[in-house]
Amino acid sequence: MSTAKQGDSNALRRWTVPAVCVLAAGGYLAVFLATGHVAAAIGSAAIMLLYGTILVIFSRRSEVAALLRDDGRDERRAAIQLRATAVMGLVIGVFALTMAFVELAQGHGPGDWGTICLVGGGAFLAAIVFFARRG
Amino acid sequence: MRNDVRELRAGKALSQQALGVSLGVSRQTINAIEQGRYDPSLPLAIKMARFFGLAVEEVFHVDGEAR
Repeated sequence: MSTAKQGDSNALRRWTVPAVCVLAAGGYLAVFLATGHVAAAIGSAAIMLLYGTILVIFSRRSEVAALLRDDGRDERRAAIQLRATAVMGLVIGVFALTMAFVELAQGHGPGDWGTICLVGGGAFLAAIVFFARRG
Repeated sequence: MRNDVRELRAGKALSQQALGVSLGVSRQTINAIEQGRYDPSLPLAIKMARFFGLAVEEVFHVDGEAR
C-alpha cells in the first residue's frame, strides 16, 4: 500500500466512529420523534453527539479515546481492539447463556436469549473454521 | 523479552514520539515496548533493528539470555 493511500485510509478510519455517532444521533432522533418521545429523542441524540465530540477532542491526548475512536492504529492498538472485542463477545455470550438457562428454569422457552446464543455460537464456529483454514 | 530500545533511542536523541513517527506506530506503543509491556511483531522488531542499524538479536533479548 502506498503512503498516500495509507494516509487516506487512516484519515477515513479516524472519522468513521464520529460519523457513526452523528448517524446514530440522527437515527435516535428520527425513531423517538416518530413514536412521540421528544425527550428521549433529544436526550439520546445529545448523548451520541457528546460521545463523538469527546472522542474527537481527546483522541490526541488520551490513548483510550484514540482506541475508542480508532485513531492512529498500529499493531499494538489493533491487538488491544481485538482483545477488547473478544472480552465483549465472551461477556455477552456468558450473559445470554445465563439468561437462556434462567428462562428455561422458569419453565419458559429460551426465547430471544436462545436466538442470541445460537447466532453467537454459530458465528464463533464459523470464525474458527475460517481462520483455521486460512492459517 | 528485554530490549535496548530506550538506550538506543536516547543515543540518537530521539523522543518516543519521533521514533514512533519514523516506525509508523504510536508514542504509547514505543513506551510499552521500552517498558517490556508489549513485545513487537517480527516485522516491527526487524524495522526497529534496521532503524538503529543493528540485528534484531542485538536489540531484543529473550529473558534469562545473556547479552
